[in-house]
Amino acid sequence: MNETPQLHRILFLLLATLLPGLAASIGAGALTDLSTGLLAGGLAAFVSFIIALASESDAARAVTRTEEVGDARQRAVAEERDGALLEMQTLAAAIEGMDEGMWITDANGVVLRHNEALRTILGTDQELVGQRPLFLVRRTELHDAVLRACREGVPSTVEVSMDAPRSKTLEVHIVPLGASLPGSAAVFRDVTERKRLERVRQDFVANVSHELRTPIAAILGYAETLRSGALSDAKHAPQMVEIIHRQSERLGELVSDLLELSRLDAGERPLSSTRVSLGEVARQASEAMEPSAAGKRLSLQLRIPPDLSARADPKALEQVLLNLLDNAIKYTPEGGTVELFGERVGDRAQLSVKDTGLGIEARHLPRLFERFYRVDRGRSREMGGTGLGLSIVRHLVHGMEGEVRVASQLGVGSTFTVVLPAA
Amino acid sequence: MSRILIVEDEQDLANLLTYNLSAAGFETETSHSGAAALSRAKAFKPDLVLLDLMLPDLPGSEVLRLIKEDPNLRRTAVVMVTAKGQESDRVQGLEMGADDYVVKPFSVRELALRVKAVLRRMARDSEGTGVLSAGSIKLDPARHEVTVAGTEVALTALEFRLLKTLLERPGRVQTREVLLSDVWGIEAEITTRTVDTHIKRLREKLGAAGDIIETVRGVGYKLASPDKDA
Repeated sequence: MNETPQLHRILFLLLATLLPGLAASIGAGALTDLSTGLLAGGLAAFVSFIIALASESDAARAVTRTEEVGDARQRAVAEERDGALLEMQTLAAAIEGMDEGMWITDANGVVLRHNEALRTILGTDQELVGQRPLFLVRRTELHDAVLRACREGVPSTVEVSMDAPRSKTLEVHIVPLGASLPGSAAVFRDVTERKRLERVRQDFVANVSHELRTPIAAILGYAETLRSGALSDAKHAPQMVEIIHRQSERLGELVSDLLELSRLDAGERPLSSTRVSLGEVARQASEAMEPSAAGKRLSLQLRIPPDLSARADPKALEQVLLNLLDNAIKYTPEGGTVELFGERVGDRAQLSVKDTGLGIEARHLPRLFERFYRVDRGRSREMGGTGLGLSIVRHLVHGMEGEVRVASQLGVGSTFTVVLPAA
Repeated sequence: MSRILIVEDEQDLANLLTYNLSAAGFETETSHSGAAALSRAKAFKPDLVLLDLMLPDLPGSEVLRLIKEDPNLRRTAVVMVTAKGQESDRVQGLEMGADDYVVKPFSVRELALRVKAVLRRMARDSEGTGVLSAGSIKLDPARHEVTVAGTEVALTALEFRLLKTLLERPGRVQTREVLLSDVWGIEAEITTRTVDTHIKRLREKLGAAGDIIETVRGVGYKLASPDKDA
């Protein structure tokens, strides 16, 4: 019996299956070559063998040990078998340890074996062995791909969207086990998060494009209108010039905010971590915002314990407070109150900006810190924001190993709280 | 005086369009959201809707679809205004029945010219020496009416113009480029699937009578010539 070299081949084949990149790089010729010489009936028996290996291998080794053979050749065979068993044990552990789900099917596409991760990925407790792909994942493209691998020996990668038990996207790589080894293997990867990030990126690019083009369209349009004769329209010309000025400012702010975000993203703005007196930073920020508060007849109050300090980057923290105060002032109707207060909670120091403004509906709160997320597009445009302020705030606070939270009640007001390590 | 409904949520841009289109002699009204635009359109009965594709409440493409499906509004011309300059948005809009598009940032002068061109094409739709017909299809330009074996078929302004163009040129192959230029008034800088989509929809609406529009593979379309038809 020449079993060991076959096992090596199967092992290699299986490894290739597990590593889609490697499998892809192996041509059909190589696969055929690999499976040449394999004895018939191999796969099903092999699969049972490999999965049961962890428990059986000790017994197998014991059997090997009891075979007291003086013959050197027999000993070499036994050693080789031992080595193969060890390799397979390692492989079985690797398959079980994978994040990716995996199944092996017979020539008809019926699942013979799978790892535990597959259950998690498919989100099911049901018995998988003995089922057909279509029963487990109700997507014909996957079923077809498995049958293609089994019958025509064609490997493929399919993307499968699942609605239940929760919405996710799987990337499934399916390979035939080989010409003389009937069946297929499939590796399931959950790509939901990757897809989400791709969408976020695309949305961001589309948003940036929209946000930049709108002020440019206004500037260009009004300049063209003035040039084509409106300059002598004494009633409207001054308004047009005013709009051009305002939209240019908006464009400038947008570009600065985008650059700031990109610097923060790229880690090009290293934040220091020094002992900062929160009372001091808060006083500077509120002094800077005093004129705009006074312009709206808002009362700007400061309540920070004199000994309260945190580990932070003073400039970044001031920027955070300016941003939060600016928002609070914008969204609080005339005669209201904006309060900046601090307290120590355990080993954390907190700074809160509380307003008596419009408040934010609960459904918006989870997305409030996203780039260009707008609670009310019309309203934020009136207020002249770039849609990036809170995103920058979150970036800066995270950079200082802190967090930022928001609590709000419609018609009552909002409180933004920055939590930092106390010092 | 043609009426134009401006659908734009950016106040500054809405004012810019109002100023320029009024100066060009149009009567204008403005809506700042998709829902407001749909209800305003029913009362104002505009000849043309200038439609921003990014609206605060619903996607502009949805507003376009609702306009083209409304029996009272479907003949209103729609010019899309979009900040998303990506070709796919424009093509999608044209396939859904928009008459033209303008990309932000646009030249106000060019926009006014485009609007005039679309309105001129619409006006030409009702010109003609009399009823055009082929097989059981009859097109009456004056009444803006199409019937198949006596039953009226509801067509959008573009579908009407497409059918009229084909009926005026029976037996002659019309390339996609020619149709894009003569029916849509745009040069073939965008993918020509727009033509195919509209031909498909037109055939569907005409039912069995639509078979008279033949596909000339790789070239375009033609209306089966009467002698061949006989």
